[in-house]
Amino acid sequence: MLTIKNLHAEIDGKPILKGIDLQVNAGETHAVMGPNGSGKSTLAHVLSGREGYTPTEGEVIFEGKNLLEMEPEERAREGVFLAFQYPIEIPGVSNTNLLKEGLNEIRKHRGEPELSAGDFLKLVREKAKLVEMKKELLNRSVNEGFSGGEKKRNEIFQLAVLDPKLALLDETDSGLDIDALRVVAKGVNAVRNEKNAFLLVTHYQRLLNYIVPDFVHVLADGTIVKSGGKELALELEERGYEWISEKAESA
Amino acid sequence: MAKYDDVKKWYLDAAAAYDRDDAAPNGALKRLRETGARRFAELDFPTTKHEDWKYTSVKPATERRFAWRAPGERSDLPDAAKEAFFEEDQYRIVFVDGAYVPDASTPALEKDGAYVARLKTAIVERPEAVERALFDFEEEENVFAALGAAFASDGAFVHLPKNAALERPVHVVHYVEAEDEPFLAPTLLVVAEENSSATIVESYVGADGKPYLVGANARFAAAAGARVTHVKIQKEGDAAIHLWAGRAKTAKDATFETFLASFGGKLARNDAVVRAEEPGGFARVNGVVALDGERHVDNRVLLDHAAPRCESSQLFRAALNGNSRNVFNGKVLVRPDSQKIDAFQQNDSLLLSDTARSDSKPQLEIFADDVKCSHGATTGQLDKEALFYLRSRGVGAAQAKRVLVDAFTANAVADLKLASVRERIEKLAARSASR
Repeated sequence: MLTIKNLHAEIDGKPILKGIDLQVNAGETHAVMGPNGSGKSTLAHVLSGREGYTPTEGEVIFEGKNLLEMEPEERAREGVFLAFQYPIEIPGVSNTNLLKEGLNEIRKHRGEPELSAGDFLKLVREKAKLVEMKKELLNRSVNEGFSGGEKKRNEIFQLAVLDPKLALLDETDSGLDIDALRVVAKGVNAVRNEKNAFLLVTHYQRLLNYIVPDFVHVLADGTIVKSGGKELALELEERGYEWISEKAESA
Repeated sequence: MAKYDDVKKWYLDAAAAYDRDDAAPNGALKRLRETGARRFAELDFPTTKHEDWKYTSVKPATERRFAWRAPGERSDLPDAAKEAFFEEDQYRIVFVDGAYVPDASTPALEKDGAYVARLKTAIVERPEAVERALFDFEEEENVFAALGAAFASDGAFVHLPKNAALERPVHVVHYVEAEDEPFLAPTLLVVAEENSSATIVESYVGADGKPYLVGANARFAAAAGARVTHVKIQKEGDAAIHLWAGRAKTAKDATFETFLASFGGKLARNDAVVRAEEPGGFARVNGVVALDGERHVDNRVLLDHAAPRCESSQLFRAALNGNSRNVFNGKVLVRPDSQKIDAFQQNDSLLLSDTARSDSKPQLEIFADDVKCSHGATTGQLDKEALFYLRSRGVGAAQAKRVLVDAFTANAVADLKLASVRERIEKLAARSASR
């Protein structure tokens, strides 16, 4: 589904990613871990097309297409979704209206007809249940006045409605207490299937107790220094990141 | 000869030449015109040295000689005029190029004592009530309001007796497409007696590329406990000059609110003065401005707290594209002895291009000591983070921009209860600023 080859990227002229290689197939969940400043969030942003995150070398092929050439909305329509680490508030734009516009664009891109108002409402209600979103939050302005936990839930709710092929979760666990984390993870797990893939960017192993990855990659100074199975995350939790970084330096 | 003497002479000659008695038994309109002409002769055209006109030049209004159009009637209604009709269920009074269109209008209404009619009809049917409304306000300080008064001869009249509540809105539509550079001077008079309520909408729509001048006057008197909501949707053509002067006063516990939506015009200016004459009143003057191209809109507001225990609120939001210009010039005046006043004033501008410009002059003039007043102004650009957020959900860049502009401007009409009117303003706002 996603092939990243020798990806380099910079922010404000400063190199952050220094040659990432990664293969993600349908049905897989990958966790990208690493210390602060290692470039793991940058990777998620480069893949989503955020302005200011400039790829300088390498390529990213998503479903046979060059992802880096696409505008952010084209990536979304092709099936890439970013769950933000810090979801912003957008006063005056209702949550459901945003989803309706987004979903209809995505469906149009896939050659599917627009959902009727009734079907859309049904879908929204069903997905809201997945993450235990309060009904009154659905028609409120996007994230306006939401608690930290509600914002993260809203991201996963949107993910569930838009049903992407590839979901990028940027530090979705940050700022969540254990109950909220459990709800968010439950939502993610309910969406996981054989046809989609997840890339979880996280600093802590905690999230991975609830969303169990197939692969774990450790990022340090802009490159993947170690890859392994889910047990690698546990090892990191125990030994910290320095062990990996030192190993990378000595190698 | 002073700079504008020839302009003045042009209009004064035209006013003198218009010598009709309007079939009014008391000659009230004629006397109003004479008063207006005298005042127009006395007042000078402002320059940008004038505080109220600091950012707006009157040149576009004075460089041409617009030809006064005496009121008449016509039977046909251009399709473009229908664009202004947003809802079937309303008392509608329609003018095209200054001429009343009876077939598109609701006949004069008399229901439970409430009266809604074209001004020319009202002056015949209700001469005393119209006369009282015409001369109920102080002498004009605005030269263009005086100019409009010098030609006042048609428009709309709304009279609400005690406790009357108009369920349907009154909608006065002015559409202009004439080629001969006309000057139109419509008058709207609203008299709301004790505890009555109504919503009155004015629409000003015109064709692009055709110079014309609208010098409109609106007068609102809200008696004790009355609630008057006024909405003005202005989308004149890009060569039009639109100068509107609204004067309102509130008696004890009365409420006057107006939502001024401005989308068009080479030069468009609203001059709104609301005075709380008795305690306990409330005034709201809100505005939406959404512009592109070379359009220029100036909102001047004076909220005059001439009695204690009054509340007032002003919220103006402008979304500006192209080379457009926005001016906000709002003043809260709290007179001595007007204690326990609560006044809020805010002006926010969104610049969508590098060449759009907004000038904001929020002012407080407070002569009492037990008051709560706040004011502020902001100018900014579209939030890039929000834009990216929407796009990351599949919404196209242009549509995402429209959605954000819409959300920004809609805030100023959020309290407008009439949903059909609110939605029309929101739609026009998104369309006008992000073509």
